[in-house]
Amino acid sequence: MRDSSSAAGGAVMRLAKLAALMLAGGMLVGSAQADDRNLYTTEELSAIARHLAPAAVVPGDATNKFADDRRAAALGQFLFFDTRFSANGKFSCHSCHQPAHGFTDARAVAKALAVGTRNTPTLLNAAYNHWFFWDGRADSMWAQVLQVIENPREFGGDRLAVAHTIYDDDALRRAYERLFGKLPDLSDSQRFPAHARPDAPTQSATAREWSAMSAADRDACNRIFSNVGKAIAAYERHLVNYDSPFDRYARALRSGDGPGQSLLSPAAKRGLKLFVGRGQCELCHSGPNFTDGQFHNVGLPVRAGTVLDTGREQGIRELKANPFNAAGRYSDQQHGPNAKRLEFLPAPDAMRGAFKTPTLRNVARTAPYLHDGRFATLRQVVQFYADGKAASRGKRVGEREGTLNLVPHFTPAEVMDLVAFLKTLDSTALPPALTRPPAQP
Amino acid sequence: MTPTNLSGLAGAALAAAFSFSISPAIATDHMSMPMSDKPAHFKPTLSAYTANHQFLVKITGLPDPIPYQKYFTLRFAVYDGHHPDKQLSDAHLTLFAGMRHGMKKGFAHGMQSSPKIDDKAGAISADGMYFHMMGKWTLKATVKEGGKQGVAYFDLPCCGK
Repeated sequence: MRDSSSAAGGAVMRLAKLAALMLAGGMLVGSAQADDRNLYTTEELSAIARHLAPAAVVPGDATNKFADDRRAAALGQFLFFDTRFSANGKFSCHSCHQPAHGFTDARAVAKALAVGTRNTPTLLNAAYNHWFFWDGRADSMWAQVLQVIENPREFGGDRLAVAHTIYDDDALRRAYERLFGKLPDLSDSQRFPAHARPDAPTQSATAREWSAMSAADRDACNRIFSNVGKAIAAYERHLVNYDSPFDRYARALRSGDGPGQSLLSPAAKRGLKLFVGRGQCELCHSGPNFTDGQFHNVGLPVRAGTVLDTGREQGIRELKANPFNAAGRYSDQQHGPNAKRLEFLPAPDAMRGAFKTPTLRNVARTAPYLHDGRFATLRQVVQFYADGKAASRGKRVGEREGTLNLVPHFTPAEVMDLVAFLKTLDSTALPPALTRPPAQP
Repeated sequence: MTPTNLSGLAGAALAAAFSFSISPAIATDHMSMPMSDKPAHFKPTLSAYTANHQFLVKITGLPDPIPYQKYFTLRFAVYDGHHPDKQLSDAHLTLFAGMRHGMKKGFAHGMQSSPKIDDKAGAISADGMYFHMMGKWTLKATVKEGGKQGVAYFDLPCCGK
């Protein structure tokens, strides 16, 4: 019988030799290519991984049963570029959501029929949003679209005009009816006036026309209006892209791909380390979209000559009152999880002055920044957070959230490193077929 | 196949060779690349007394792990703090959840959800809890029963997927 201890000892020796050989081999490999994984702590690497692209499938929207219908997306893409829904026939969704500017308009605040008060958010990856608009006053992408059409500063349109536009255009009407069923006979102008909507000023002609319609006809027009929103949302759900230098670098980190780890500049890597680590940026800018999807009061001073904007406070009130919300009659799942969220909305006044955390993906292309576009450059934005309470002096709306105090002071070099990192979140362009108007609806 | 995918495959081979060559004795934890989607966890507080042991509040239902950025439900039972076997059927609960982020007093921020509390017949549930940020959340549970009031605190970890 062999001595088990000596057999074990021999095995240990052989393993040690093997380990030494493998270590030497590994060191050779390692010396040929630096491994960036050594730049980050375990926690930082985990945080980087959490920012990687989500599952390929865009989250469903059960309130829109046409959300993933290709025909709806094709119709929606046509309508996205169609200017006929605006009062003067000059503006479409594309007017403010331009691919060249990351599906924004490069303005401080939106401008269509009139100058607005808020910066235009990007549509890229918006399908992952929990809430829509800076104040979350829409709880679905399709409900968001409808508000733009009737906003007097944006399209200044109305739902009856939308219905008539579809009804009067043979191709559009056929495309609509293939998806949503037969339109009512809108040729009867007594029943269906050319212009009408409920939220116009009480004494306006459009409001009077709306009041004069029967409940059934109003419902029929609301249905057409909501279907238009659902088609455009079905298109917008395709505006998804997670292929940025950051993503490629993070995947290279995860796989140990040496060449892939050279995709970011040293400054961008320092900025990334700061972002996921000491800088505490990802407390709010978390997950694949670099946003928690929630609302925060960052203590912005009120600027002279601007209206007081209460943000989420008013957004919650408008969302609850909106007949096109997830629990409403035009939702395709009135009792589902999205409708349930409405029961859990916080007290509006607790959210005074809070605005939605914007995504940082493609942020270099979506200047200016913050809900009112007050900062022209990323450097200014980062500097605002780096300056802490000092940057929030003066009159404010609501209470500055304490989370902001966790952001440390950044040196000028660190500010530039963070900016260098943020620029790596720029995705490759979407396929041209997705970013131009189709010839047919 | 895109160039990115090709380099990913090459990188995977490189990573396999490199990671295999590091003996456990010299590998640092960050070189092991856990790349976990879960942050570090701690055990949640499942029972807590209010001041002077007036009430004992127990969390009897808690998802494990607590989901990240998804609504969840908590269940509670309230007991007489001086007679911990005696469950109180008329206790009412109000909740506030927030994160202190190192603050000794108060909260840096709260939840962005207002849970619905059902406290009929002693079986108390809070539907609509929602943690939007990773880290330690503190739940402040205020108990009212028979003209008395007390506050119990619970620490809850956020989050799993």
